[in-house]
Amino acid sequence: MKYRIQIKIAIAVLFTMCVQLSYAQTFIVKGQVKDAKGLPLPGATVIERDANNRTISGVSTDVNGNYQLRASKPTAVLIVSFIGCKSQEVKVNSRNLINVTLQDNEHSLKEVEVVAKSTVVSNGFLNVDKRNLAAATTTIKMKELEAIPAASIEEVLDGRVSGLMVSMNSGDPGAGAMIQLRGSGSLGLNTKPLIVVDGIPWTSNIPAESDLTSSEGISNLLNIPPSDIATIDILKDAAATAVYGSEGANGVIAITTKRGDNMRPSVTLTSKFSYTRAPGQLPLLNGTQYKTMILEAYQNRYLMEKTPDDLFLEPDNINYENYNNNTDWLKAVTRSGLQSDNNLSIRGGGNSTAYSVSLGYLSETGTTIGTAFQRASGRLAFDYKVSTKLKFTSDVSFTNSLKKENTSALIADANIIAPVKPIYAQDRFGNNTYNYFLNPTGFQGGINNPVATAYLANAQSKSDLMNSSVQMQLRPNEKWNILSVLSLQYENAESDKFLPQSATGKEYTRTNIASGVNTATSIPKYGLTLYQKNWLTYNLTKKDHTFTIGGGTIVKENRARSLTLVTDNTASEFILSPYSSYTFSSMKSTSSISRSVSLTSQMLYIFKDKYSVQAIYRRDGSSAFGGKNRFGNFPSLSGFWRFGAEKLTGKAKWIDNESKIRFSWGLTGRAPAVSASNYATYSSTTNYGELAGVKPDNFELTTLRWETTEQRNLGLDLSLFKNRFNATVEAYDNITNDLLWARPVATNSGFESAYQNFGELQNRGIELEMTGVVVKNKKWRVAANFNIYKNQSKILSLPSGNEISKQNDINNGAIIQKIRVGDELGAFYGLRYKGVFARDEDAFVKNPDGSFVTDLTGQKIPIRFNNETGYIFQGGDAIYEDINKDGVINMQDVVKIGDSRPKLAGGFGLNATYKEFTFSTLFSFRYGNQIFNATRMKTTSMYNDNNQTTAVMSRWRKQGDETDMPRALYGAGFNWIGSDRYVEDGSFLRLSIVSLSYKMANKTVNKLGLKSLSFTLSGSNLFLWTKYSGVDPEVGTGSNTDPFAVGQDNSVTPRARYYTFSTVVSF
Amino acid sequence: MKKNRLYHFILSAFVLFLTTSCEEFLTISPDNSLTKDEFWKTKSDATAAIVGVYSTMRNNLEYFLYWGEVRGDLLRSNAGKGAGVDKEAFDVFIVNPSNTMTKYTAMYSVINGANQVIKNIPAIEANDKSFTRTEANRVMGEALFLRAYTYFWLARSFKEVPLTLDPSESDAQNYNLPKSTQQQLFDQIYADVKLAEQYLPASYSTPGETRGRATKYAAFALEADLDLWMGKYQEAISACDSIINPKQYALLTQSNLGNLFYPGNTVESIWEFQYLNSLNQKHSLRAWFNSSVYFTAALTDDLFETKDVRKSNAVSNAYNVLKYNVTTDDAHWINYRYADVLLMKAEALTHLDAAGNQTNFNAAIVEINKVRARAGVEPLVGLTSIAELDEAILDERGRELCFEGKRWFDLVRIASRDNNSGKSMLISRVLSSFDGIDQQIVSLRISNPESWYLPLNSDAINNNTSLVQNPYYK
Repeated sequence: MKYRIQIKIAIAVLFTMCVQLSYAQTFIVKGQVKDAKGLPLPGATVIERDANNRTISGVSTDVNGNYQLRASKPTAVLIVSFIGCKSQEVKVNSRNLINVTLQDNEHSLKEVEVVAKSTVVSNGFLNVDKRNLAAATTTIKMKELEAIPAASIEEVLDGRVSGLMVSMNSGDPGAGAMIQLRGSGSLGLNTKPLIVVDGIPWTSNIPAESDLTSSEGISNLLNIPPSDIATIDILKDAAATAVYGSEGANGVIAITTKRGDNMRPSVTLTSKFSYTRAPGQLPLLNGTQYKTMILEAYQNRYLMEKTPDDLFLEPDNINYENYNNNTDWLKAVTRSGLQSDNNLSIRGGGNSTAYSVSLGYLSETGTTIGTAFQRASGRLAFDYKVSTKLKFTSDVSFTNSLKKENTSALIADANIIAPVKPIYAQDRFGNNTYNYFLNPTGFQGGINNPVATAYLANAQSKSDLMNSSVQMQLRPNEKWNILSVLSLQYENAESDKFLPQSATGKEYTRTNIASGVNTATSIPKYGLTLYQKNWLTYNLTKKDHTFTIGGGTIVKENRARSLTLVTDNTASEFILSPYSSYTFSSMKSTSSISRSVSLTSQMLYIFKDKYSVQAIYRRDGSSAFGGKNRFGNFPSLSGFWRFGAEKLTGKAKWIDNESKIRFSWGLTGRAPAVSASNYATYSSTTNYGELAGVKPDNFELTTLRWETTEQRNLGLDLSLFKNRFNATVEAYDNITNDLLWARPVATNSGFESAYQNFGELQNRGIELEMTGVVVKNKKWRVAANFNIYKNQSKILSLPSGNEISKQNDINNGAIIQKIRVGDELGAFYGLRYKGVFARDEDAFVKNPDGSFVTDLTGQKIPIRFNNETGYIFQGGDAIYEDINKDGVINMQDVVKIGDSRPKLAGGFGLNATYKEFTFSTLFSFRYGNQIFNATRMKTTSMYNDNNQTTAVMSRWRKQGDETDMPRALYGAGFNWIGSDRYVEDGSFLRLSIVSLSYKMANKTVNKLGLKSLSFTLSGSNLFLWTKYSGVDPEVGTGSNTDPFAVGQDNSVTPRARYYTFSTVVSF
Repeated sequence: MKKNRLYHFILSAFVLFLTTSCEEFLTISPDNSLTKDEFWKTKSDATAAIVGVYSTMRNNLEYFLYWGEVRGDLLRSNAGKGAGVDKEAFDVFIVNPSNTMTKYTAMYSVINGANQVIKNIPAIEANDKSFTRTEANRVMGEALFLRAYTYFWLARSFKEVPLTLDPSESDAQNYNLPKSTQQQLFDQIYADVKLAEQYLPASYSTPGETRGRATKYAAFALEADLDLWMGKYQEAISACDSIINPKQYALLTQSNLGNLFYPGNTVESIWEFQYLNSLNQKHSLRAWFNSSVYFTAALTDDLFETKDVRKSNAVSNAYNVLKYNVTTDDAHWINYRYADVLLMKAEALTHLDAAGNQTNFNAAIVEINKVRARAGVEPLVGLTSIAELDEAILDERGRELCFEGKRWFDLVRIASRDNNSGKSMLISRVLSSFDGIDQQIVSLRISNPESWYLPLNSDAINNNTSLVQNPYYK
């Protein structure tokens, strides 16, 4: 109790200094101010305000809570307030002694939170309650999720929002994710939804193309600790996103962070500690099995017993022991990880100010060796009311993060490195030495020892992000409202990579050749975004009519720069940075600047709180386009009918007032992130001898215009049984025209590609979200939630040719992906796999009746690959269906073999509270999507020295073997062409989260001098039910920028299982 | 009323913003490149632009090897050693339209660069008075020459490709150009090279530029090369003589032969690509040849007589390529050199009289023997027919110019003469570098002369609606 009083006194002193003393002496009032428990409140303020709400006199109470004030007149009104208590208005009514008891503010604080949630400013409308919007939105309240071990918001969102698809790029700490709302609305432009934090868009504009270690980049979402978030609104349709300008075209994820309020200082400490484990791995061959397989592969190819270097065969070879082991490489590169996440926040405020400060530190080690992530973050939100008419808000936040990675994908390396090799080099007697085993040349020379790589090489990304904003809100009266926002976002990042000679064993030469020895790479980059928004609204309410009009401007500028520096052969293994070098083996820089302007006017009309029409008209300009097509016009129209509020005859009583039907229609536009494509440009090229030269970069894009999506949405909000059951159904149909994509141009122009407008893409779907409180009594509260959605992305038209193909040819190790008119986006194409030829004599062209086709001389015709002189299939080779029956397996036999997009997806969960205990779960699922298992393709090919899975044990070995696993054949044949053999059902049900928490009862907590205390035990990603043969059907199977990089399993680190203990304490 | 005024002010501020500053605000000229309006102003712009074309041209080195050398009989692509499926396919003549090594975009960026210079030189001349007529002609000549040389590569490799003489400046232009015939391409090349001969200087101020940039002698060499393809033998001889007679060039001595490619810029060289390690200008020839991506065919080894000093400069006993094999990655790539010119003259003399003429033969042998004498081998004697001389010239060119991007074209040029009369010569020479089943497969493919030319890449076909695939690949 002692410290509480100390704080109170300290604050009392501060306030005494602030409060002005009065001069008028007309009527004396005195008394005592007490709190709800009857204790005197020192430092409470008692003020008198005039009709214009100006303070005309005021005092603060003394140590015993007593005050004495000279009021201006006997009819004056006093306002008594204290931090953390509800303010009270007291009419003097000629009384001289007025004792006041102030109630704790905590109840009202909760209410405020609820109100704050429902009047989301984030859609741009001011003073419009969210319940009065006609747009499709979903809100997540973070309060329930505090104890969940999520490092990023992506992980929080996964499975919670209908229509929002989240796929983690990898299970490594700090990895980003693919996020798509309502499918992929674009082919060539980024499809990630816009992230808005407290009304200000966050866009990472750091050039991604120079990202060093992976395509993931550092997820910009990651930089907001989940514990700082109050709510997340997902805005889905044109009406909801329109006010964010063209950047909102992919939907908006609007994050509202926690702010201070009129309350006593509240300190919350959230501490989470997790133990993480990687889920199962592929079953790989051991050394003995591997050796047999390799020898067989060579035997089948070269018809003699031989291996690449005969290393396994000659016991007298000095390296024999180094090639006769049983190493479990996957075990060697995986481990269990730890995560600790601590967050401290202090929130509070008074009548005119409110503050929220939070500091956080997260540290995580990954389940793959050599990976880790650390993040320190800080945030200050400060609100100041100058008067009832003018309010300032200032937010500052920073994050410093460090992601440690490996120079190559370790899991993928471990999947293929030969198990006969040891981790540590062995001497002639098979004893381990202290040196890593390295063989840069010779047998599997291209694959580095993954353990050596993890411990000796260096790959890390550092990022510093600073966001600051100042907002000014002017409300001269009830009707007018002016908002002005200025924000600056600065991001500074650096990726470094160094692969030392000791990790590769490559020969070190001092000559200046790009030999991959001691290669140091550094990519410093920075990005800056300036954002300015002015908004003016006018509100008019008369009887049954509520009318709001408004409009404003958004002006934005992005600047970004990056540099890629590479040095080879640094003089020592300890010179990790290219900066220390005198010469660079490669140097590349990018620099970009882009600007956009958005002019918006909006109108909202509500009649009798039941009928509403809303309209927005936006005019967007982007520096990406030339003068003629620079501006695009994007109107939207929406409305609702709150049928629940109708006093219809026969209306069921259990339908709540809030139930409504909504519709919206609107256009949204996208512009490419590049600028100045509307110029023919020239830039420097490599010198020719000693002469400096300039070459043409591109041609002028005079016809480029906005990519436009026409969105239609129909929604139903049902609220039943006094808000105990809520359901939302949305149906939408979005058609994107003039798709923008940097596509190949006629190559005789001398240029590779340029942005072009073409084609039409349709996304339509249905979404359902339901929440219900199943049981509610004194002890129990059981709530359930469920969401499910279906989205279909279909190509309606493309330019001539009617398809865009990534791979033009069938070949081993490659699958064909096409974007084709009439197809779903993300379809796979390939051959149909029909098993294995049991005998040589089966591999001949057959008639439909099963008899062999013969040529003019009566000879049977062998089945060939590619053309009539190509490879002849034999016993043990893969059988592919000859679709066009020409006896040759080639491009003409390629058919569609799968779709990467789920037919249905969603999640469901349960939240049960019994007294102080809460149990909650969340499941997420996908149904009906296919995955191209590239990992399986590589680990069952038996085509090279790579290790394989145990599935190859059933391979064809001799004439007459009936199996569906082809023979081992080194460097020849066509047994692993992209076919339906590798396309698998990717449906899954995942137990994302299960948690049990204990929240100590208020009485007990108060005795401890605390406000609240809770403990949670939780697990995330504990179970996965799937038929998929790979490790994780979700990880690494999506991309926001490449429409072809979908649904492919490329052996990235799978998502770890988290076992977490967390404590939340506040006082 | 006072309040109202305030709102009027704010409203009008919005309106003002709407109407005035937007366009200006959104007009950003790129900060790391020059726009068309900013460029093409001064003499130094002209120089920078033409140097850029050389630099772009140099990027085609790997295509030169594949188009000109790997399909020939002297260099093989090593199966399974990292060249990749596409490149190995070249070796055995299974080149599909999807093969990435059939892309000609990099060639057309040279053509585009040259077209830009040719179009914009008059404007610079008008704008910058310090840009003299001689200088303007020189840059113009270089651009014409580079365009001609690039089209020459395309016409010999694909036979028929689109012919464009306009720079690519905007997406409003029509790039869907149909193919021009080989004859049309040759005619354009001939016209360009004839102009270039007039415009180009005999030398530049530095030795590096004299060897590295186009001179009138380089243009004569290109003309001679083209004349041989077009059957203009008399013109080929006079073009060669225009190089030989001024005595600006000579064969290197035996002991200096190693300097030819590194450090390069020798008296024998007429035009070679410059590389400077210190300025980060490198190529991968050494890496390719060292990593066994390529190896030389066995017959390359047999081609050399024992005393021939050229052998130790060209091939190792382990069938590795030794040319360009120096300590750094900036050995030069020679497009034309004096020995080549002598052998071209010999070929022109051989064919000058369609019926054969011993006087001409003897003159041709004299030229061949100049090259042989330098290599330290006995002079040729007693050749009396066109066929014998053709074989002798082919062998000599193989020994002298192997791995310089000429072999395949030598074979095709000689085989195509008089309605593909040399077809069997080409087949037998190519097949001699294969054995077993490969011989049968390859022989099937190359017996059709249409297969001597590459397919247009499927990218080129897909993105140009007017293009038709070459006959063999339909």
